[in-house]
Amino acid sequence: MVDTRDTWQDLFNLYLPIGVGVFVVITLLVVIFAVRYRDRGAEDDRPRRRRSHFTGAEGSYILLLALIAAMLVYFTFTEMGDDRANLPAEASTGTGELKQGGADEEGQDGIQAPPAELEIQVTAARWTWRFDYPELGITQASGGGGELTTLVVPTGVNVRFTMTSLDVIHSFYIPQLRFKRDAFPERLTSFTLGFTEPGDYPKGGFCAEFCGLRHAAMLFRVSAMEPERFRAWVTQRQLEARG
Amino acid sequence: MSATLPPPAVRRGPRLLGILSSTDHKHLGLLVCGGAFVFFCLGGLLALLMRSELAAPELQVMSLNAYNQVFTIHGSTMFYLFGAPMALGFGLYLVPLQIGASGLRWPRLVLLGFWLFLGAGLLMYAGFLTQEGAGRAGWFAFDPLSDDVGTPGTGMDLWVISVFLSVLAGMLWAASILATIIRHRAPGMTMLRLPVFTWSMVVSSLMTLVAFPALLLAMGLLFIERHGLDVFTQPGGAIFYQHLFWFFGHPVVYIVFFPFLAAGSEAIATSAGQRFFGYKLFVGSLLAFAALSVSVWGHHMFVTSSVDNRFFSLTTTAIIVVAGVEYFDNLATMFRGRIKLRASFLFACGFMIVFLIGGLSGIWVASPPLDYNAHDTYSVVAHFHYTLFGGTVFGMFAGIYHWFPKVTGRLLDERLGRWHFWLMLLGGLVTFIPQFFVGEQGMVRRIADYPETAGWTALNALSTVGAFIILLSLLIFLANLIRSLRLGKPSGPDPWDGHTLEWATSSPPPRYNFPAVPPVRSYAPLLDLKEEAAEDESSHRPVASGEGGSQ
Amino acid sequence: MSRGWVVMLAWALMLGVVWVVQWAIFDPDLIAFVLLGSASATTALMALWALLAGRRRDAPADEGIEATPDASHATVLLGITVLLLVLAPVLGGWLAFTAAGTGLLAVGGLVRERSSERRAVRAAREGGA
Repeated sequence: MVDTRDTWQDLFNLYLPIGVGVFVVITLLVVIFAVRYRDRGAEDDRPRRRRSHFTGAEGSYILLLALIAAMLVYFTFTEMGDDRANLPAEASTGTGELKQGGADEEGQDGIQAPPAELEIQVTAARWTWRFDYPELGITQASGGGGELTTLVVPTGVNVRFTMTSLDVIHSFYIPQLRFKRDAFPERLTSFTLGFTEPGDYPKGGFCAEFCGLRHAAMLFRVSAMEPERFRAWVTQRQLEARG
Repeated sequence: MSATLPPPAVRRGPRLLGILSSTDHKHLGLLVCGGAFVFFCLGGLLALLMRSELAAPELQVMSLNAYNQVFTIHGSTMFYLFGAPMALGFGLYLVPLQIGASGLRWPRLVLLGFWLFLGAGLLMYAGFLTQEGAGRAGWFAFDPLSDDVGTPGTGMDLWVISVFLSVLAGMLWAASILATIIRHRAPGMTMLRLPVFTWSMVVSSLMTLVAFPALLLAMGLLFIERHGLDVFTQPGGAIFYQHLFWFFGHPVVYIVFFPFLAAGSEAIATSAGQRFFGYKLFVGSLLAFAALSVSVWGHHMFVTSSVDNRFFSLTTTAIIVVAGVEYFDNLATMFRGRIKLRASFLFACGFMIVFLIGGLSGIWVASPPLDYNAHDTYSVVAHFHYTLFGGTVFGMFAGIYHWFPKVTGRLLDERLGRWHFWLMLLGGLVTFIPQFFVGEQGMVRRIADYPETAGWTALNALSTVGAFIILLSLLIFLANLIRSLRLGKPSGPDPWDGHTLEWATSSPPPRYNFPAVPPVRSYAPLLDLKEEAAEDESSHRPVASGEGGSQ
Repeated sequence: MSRGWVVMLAWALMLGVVWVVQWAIFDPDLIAFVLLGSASATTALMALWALLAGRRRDAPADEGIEATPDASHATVLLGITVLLLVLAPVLGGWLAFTAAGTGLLAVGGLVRERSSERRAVRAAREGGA
């Protein structure tokens, strides 16, 4: 299953200690140098720096930096290889109102879209969200009056999202999954997500791209259910839709 | 009329009018920097308004519409009206002095640029007086939000025009600075003897000339789009706009960084009383840095699924190498020095430490999977405020404390300068560190309000307290500025034992800068002369860095 | 004496290297490809300009004589003209007429400044010789 949290956590565990370490070392050096080499008046006869360049030392230092950069890039690229969410917009899945946008170049990774067990169409519009489940005939939309739309998903399976916008650029962001993706008008964006933990996500989802007046209120709820509960929910929603 | 003719005996017209139409690079530099500083204060006030609104959930201070205008104009002011003009304005004033020239090449273009810049600033703020309010589509104004449907009204039109004018002005200044460096160097001042600050202006001007046309084009097209002709309303148009915008928008954050990095380096070398270390590698790394920074714009588009994330991740991470060289050289310049802990030196150290947070977090968001979480959240707000506040603002103050005596002939008060520094350091940490945490927890940008249940209230309140500490530090600086302009101790031509040519002339310098340009044999010509004099005087103990860095 | 063009050429080459890396190893979209390529090309053109300008004999830097007026009111007028022109589509076409007037004044002023500059340079040369 796609696990964006896991990818994020792996890289977090690599980048954070390096960043904090470098910060501490350089800050200490700045402070120590400023204190130790401060001017102490006329009878100061400590040795001065004798050279104004030292290409050998700097060269090896540059090599070290290049190695660090190469390592970071290597691990990032490796993790991105698993990053199934990072897939191109899919061609010709457009529904009636959706025209397909420019073909995308990110398919060169050779990653096939992971098999998804559920299809959800996301439609963003100022300042609300709509989630369609085309295979199940369910639509989750705001009832108006500032009520938030709830995204209901099953846990433990891959969910394929296909997203578009009806007006300006929005961005679909679920903090708990450490994942966001932009929604463009006249264009489809696809990505696959997996939800590991069941329950209502306390922070839910946000629109992360500024979209005008009520951008701050463009939120949605996220509710992940165990597969059985999800099936029950689907049945109930289908009955509601008919009844 | 000319360098060889006596100056006119009678000054026609009132003095202010003379300065506002002056072709003297010192007047021009002061006009641009002064204007940029006024906009810096205005942009700062807008930031305080935002922090007041965000101190607690719900709306207290202003409406949603007002908040959107405020953050848009804050960001736009800081880039288009403060950052780039201030960086290039430093260059307009200092570059001719540092290379021993009598003035700028194409001074009229620079003057024209100042008036366009002034107009740009007035028009952007005039937007607040229009019916729909000022520009409110963010400093990036992504299409289609910024088109006539997404953001109608005259205020937004004025914003587009204002950005267009300010970008045009920046290009005129950069062209003049670059041409001056290429064509007007004093005898002996080869390219590899340019002071590091002048080198930073070489790369900043190059980047300006390469990157700014992209935004000029974007603003032109956006204006046309807003007046009826579809430009970006084609499939792929929104992405096209983002490419044009970020092709300008990433280089510009380095254009407002390099000159202040170099200002800090000059302050460090002068305070330490030693030749700047590793000059050639520093210069080479600046050039490579600039080349990389023109190649990283796509990292702003990681979550659009329409760029090759790997390429932009690679170029962005590679910046570790070039930035590391700059840190190495600054530290090695301090090594075994006789450092005078002046305000300019403190700000240069503050620059190194505070910018470092921004730099390291920049490497963080260069990794796409980490950016998928951080993008457009407060983590990114904290990140780039550490680069811009740490880099541009701390570096600017290092430069101001360093060069104020040259410009005015008076010294700024050092005790107030230390207060200014420590409060600003404290304020910078208290304001932006909490934003890393709320961002990591998912607080997105550009929101006037956030849910109380999210648990972000305490951290936001802390951040607001920090913003007011920064205000306090700036008030101390303003008091220092006003007091020192009138009562500051006279500085004489060379108060810091300077290394570069600008310290060889009087403070402030005369109309054509130098009665006679001293000989130039390295990138620290005045230090050479001082060392020679010291050796002549006492040959029993050779002083300081022997071999020099000149070729 | 001016080696500025070498610096620009070096920078153009650096950009060129990144451009080639982007094109050879990665898979850029057309816009990214064109933007980075044009950055490199623009810099190369600027290097060419610097090279040619450095060769021109009558360049002021080589002569040592320059004449620039201390103040250029005509330039200020030109700036105001540009401001009026860009405002015309927003605030009303009549601004364009005002701009035409100030523009005429500005150009006239610039021509006058230019000719008096030439006179000053000539006078300085004759005086110096």
